[in-house]
Amino acid sequence: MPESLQSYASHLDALAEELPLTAARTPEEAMQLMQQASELGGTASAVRLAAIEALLADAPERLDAITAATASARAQIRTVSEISRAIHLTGQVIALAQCVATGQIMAIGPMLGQLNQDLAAA
Amino acid sequence: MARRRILSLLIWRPATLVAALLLSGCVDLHAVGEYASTAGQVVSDRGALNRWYQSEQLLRARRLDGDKCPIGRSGRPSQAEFDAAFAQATTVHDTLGRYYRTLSELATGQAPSPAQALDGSLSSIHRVGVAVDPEDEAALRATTALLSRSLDGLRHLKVRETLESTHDSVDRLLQLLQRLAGLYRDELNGERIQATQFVRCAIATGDLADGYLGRRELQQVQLDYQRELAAIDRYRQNLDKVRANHARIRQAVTGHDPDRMIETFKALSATRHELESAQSALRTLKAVPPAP
Repeated sequence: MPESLQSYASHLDALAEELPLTAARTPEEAMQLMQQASELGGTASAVRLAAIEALLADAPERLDAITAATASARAQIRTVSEISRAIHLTGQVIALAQCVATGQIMAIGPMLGQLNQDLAAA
Repeated sequence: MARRRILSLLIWRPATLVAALLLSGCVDLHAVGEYASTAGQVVSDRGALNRWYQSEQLLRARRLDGDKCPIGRSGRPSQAEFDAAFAQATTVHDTLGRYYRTLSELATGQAPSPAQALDGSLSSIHRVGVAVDPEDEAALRATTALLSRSLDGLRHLKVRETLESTHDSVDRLLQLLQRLAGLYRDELNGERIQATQFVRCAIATGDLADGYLGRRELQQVQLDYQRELAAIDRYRQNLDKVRANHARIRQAVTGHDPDRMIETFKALSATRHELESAQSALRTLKAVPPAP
């Protein structure tokens, strides 16, 4: 249906273009022809809007499917990002364990501070 | 020793298994990611939609105070109807744009990799002066490298799954954008007809009394519209390419033919540059100036 509406609208525009404004003998005749062109153009525009509405009527279902797939892909991106953060924190914890195991007492404070900062940011 | 064994059992073995499972069929998705980013720009561009929406306003702006001839298409539907269609079409552009941007992000892996995360962690450890056992560090780096590859495999699977589950819907919506672009073009052509008839009317009523200037004006109006119509034609061609490439990417990512995959990625890279250069065409479309 949108196709036939589209070609009907184009046909109306073509009729508007064929109106012989250059051959108008008086200003009144020219204005009258311009009025007809305006009416043909207005109808063409309305028919085209109907075609656009008909095309868009099928869109919501497709849009829902894409929105759901996009959300799922976004969740995957978040997962990868969270894994990276978890690895970063694991590294910090291992370092803290090293500090304790090797008796590097002076380093424990700054390490804990860094870990707290990273945990707050995670 | 016992600690290393535990580390090996907890991390190495599952990571190796996961990696071995996932790495089969893993491809360099960078080309897909970069291409998807460009495709996202093409489908998000609302230049042609805006031009359709503002058509009547731009047509009426051609009439100057004192002109005898009327301008503007009479009997058009209410502005609310145009607003509703405009809002719906905007949703299509935005949803497809988000889809392609997400696909791009997923394929290019813009999130920091585990290896980068580990580097950050180790550098902060070194900053506070803690000596990490080189063997522990090496084990950690090897595990992270494997994990990175596993995550690449996961990204590949997710890209494939996303392409497979959305292919029909994306194809239909790209088709919809193509058909809408055809209607926007027709509306602009209708506006051209009204504008040229208006100039003819101005000549006939004596508003444009000089025949030479009248012909020049008519020619200028035709040229302006031809330029804008050509811009919408390029946009439609871009949509054709995006639609054709969407099917190719899906075949390449879900297929198992490495030669075909490399060929597709090369073609995508070439198309991407074409799309980017054609993208500026829509910026030549007229727009209603923003209110002061």
